[in-house]
Amino acid sequence: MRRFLYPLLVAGFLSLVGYVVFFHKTDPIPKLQPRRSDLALGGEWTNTQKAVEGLLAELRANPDNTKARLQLAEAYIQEGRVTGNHAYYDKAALDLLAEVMRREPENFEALCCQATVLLSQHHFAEGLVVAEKAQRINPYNSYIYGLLTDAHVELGNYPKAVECADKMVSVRPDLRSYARVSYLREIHGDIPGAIDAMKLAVSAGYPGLEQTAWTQVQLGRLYESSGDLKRASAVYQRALEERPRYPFALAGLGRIATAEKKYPQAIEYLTSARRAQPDFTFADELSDAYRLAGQPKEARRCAEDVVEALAGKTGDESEANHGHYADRELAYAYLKVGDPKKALEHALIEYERRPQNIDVQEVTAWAYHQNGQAQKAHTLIKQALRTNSQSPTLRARAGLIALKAGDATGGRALLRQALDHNPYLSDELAGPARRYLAANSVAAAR
Amino acid sequence: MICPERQRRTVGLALLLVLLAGSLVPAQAHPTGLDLSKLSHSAVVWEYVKLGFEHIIPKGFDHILFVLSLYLLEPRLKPVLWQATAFTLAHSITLGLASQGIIYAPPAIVEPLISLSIVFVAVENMLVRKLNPWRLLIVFGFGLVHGLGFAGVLGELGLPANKFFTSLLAFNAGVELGQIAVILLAWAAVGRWTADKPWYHARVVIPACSLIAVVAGWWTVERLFLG
Repeated sequence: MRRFLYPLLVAGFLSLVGYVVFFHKTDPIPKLQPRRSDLALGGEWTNTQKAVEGLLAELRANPDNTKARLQLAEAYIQEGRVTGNHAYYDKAALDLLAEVMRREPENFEALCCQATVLLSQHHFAEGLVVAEKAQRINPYNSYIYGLLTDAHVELGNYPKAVECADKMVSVRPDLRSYARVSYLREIHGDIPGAIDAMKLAVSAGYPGLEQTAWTQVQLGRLYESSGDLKRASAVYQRALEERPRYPFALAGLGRIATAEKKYPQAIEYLTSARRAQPDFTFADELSDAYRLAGQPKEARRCAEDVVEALAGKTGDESEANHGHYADRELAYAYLKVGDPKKALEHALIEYERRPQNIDVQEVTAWAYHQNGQAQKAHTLIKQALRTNSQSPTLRARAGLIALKAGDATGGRALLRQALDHNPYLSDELAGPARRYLAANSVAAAR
Repeated sequence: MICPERQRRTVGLALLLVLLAGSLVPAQAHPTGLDLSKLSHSAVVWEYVKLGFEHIIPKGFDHILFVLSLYLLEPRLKPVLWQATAFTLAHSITLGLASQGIIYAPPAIVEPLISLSIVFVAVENMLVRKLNPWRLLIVFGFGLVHGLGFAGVLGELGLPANKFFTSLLAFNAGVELGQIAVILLAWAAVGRWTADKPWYHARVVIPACSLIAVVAGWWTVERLFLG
C-alpha cells in the first residue's frame, strides 16, 4: 500500500504546484474602498470611482499597461490623503508601484510616487534615498524637489531643504512650491513671509480641490499661531465654502472655538471632523475641548483613543499599518494620558531616527522635562530653537524647561515671547507661563 | 503515580503542541517597521540579524513548521545538519538573486508554494521510516522557494544601498540562528527523550506531522483562495 502512496503524494504535489504556477491568479489588483458618509457626498467621489473603475478595467484587459498601473497608484495615494485610510491605500499604492518598478526600474514617476508614500509613512531617510534616485533620472522636475525638500526638512537638514525649495520654486512656482517656501520661512521665524507665501499657494490652487483646501488650512494655522483668530476663522470658512465638510477646516474652526472658550461649539466642530476622517489629531483636539468644557471622562476617552490609534501605527503593535512611524505623535499622546515614561521611550525612538529635526528635539526635550530630567531637556530644547522658529508652543515649552534648568532670564524671555505672539496659547502651557510671570513681576515690584 | 519518562514525554509533546497551536495564526508576509536612517555598520548587522531571527521566531510559523518537519523524521545530528545545510544553501541563493533584482516571483505564487512544501515534507514523514536519498534534493528545491519568501520580506523592509551585502548576510545569519533555535527547542522538547524509542514514529512523528500537514494545508487554501 505504502508503495503506491508515495508516488501518489509526489503526483498530487506536482499537480498542485502546476496549478499554483500556471493557473493561480498572481496579480490581484487592490480595489477602491467605500468612503465614509460625508466624504462620499459630492461629485469628486463619483469622478474618483469612475476613474478608478476605468483603470481597473484597463489593467484587467492589459496587465502589462504600466502607465495605467502607475495612475492607479497615484489615485490611491490621493484617496489615502482624502479619506485618511493610509493603512490600506499606502500598501495598495506600494504594491502597484513595486510591480511597475519590477518592469521598469528607472520609471521616474513610479520613483516619485514611492518616495511620496514613504514620506507620508514618515520613513524619511528611505524616502530621501528614493527621491535622490529619481532626481538623478530627471533633475528638471519641480515635484521631485518638493519631495527632497520634505525629506531634508524632516531629517533636520534645513540648509539643504532651503536649497531644494529654492530650486523647486525656480523650476515651477505653484501651490506646492509656495507651500514649501512658506513652511521653511515659518520654521526660520519669518511669519509674515510665511503668510505671504501661503497666500500665493492658495491663489495658485484650483478652488475646491483637496490640495487647495489643505493650503487654506495651513494659512489658517499660521494666523492661528499668531493669535489672529479672526483671519484664521475667515480662511477656514472659505475653505469650507469651496470644499464642504473638509475635516481639517472643521477642526480649525473647532480650535478657534476652543480658544474663544466656546466649548460646546468646539466639540461639535471637532466631532464632525473626526466623523469625516479618522485622523488622530481631531481626537487629540477633541480631548482638549472636553477637558476645558469640564467633561474629564470624555476627555480621557479621546486621549486614550489617540494612543490606541497611534500605537497601531508604530509597526510594533500592529502590522496592519505597514510600519507607519508615529513615535513623535505617540510621545505627546502618552503625555496627555499621564504616562511620561512611555512618552520618553517613544520620543527617543524618533530621536534615534532623526536627531537633527527641531520638532523631534522639541518632543524629546519636553518628554525629558516631564520625566524630571531638566538638564537633558535644556540641552535639546536649545537645539530645537536653532532655526529661530517663533512657534509659541515651542517657545513656551523652552521657557518652562529653561526655568526648571535654572536659566531664569532665558526662561522668562521665552515665556513672554510665547504669550506675546499668541495670547490664545493652550492652557496647558499658558497657565504655568502666566502664573510664573505674574509671580515674578510681583517679586520684582517688592 | 506517573513514571518520570512518561512525564517527560508528555511535557515534550505538550510543548510541541503549544508550538503548533501558535502556528494556527495566519502566517503571511510580515513587514517590519525599521527605519534605515543612517545606521552604523554594526547597527546594520545587529538589526538585520535580529530581523532574520524574528522572521523565524516568533513571526515565521511557516518556516518553523518546515524546519520541524525536517527535524522530526530522523532527529539525529548528521541528517538534520545535512538537510539544514542544503536548505540554507538554497535559500541563500534565491534570497541573494531576488534581492539583487535578478530573479522575481510574485508572493501570490511563492507563499502557497511554501505552505505546500511543508505539507509535502510532513506527509512524506508519515509515509516513510527513514530519509530517502533524494530528500536532500527535495529540501534544496524547497529552500529555493523559501528564499524567495525571505526576499519578499526584505523587499518590504528595504536594504540600505551602501550596506547591501552586509545587511543581506546579516539577515541570512539571523535566519540561520532562528532555525538552529527551532531545532534545539525541538530536540529539548521531544528528540532528547523519545528519538530512540521504538514507538517514536507512531506516537511522535505521525501525530505531529499530521497536525503540521493540516495546518500547512489550511494555509495553502488560505493563501490560494482567501488571501
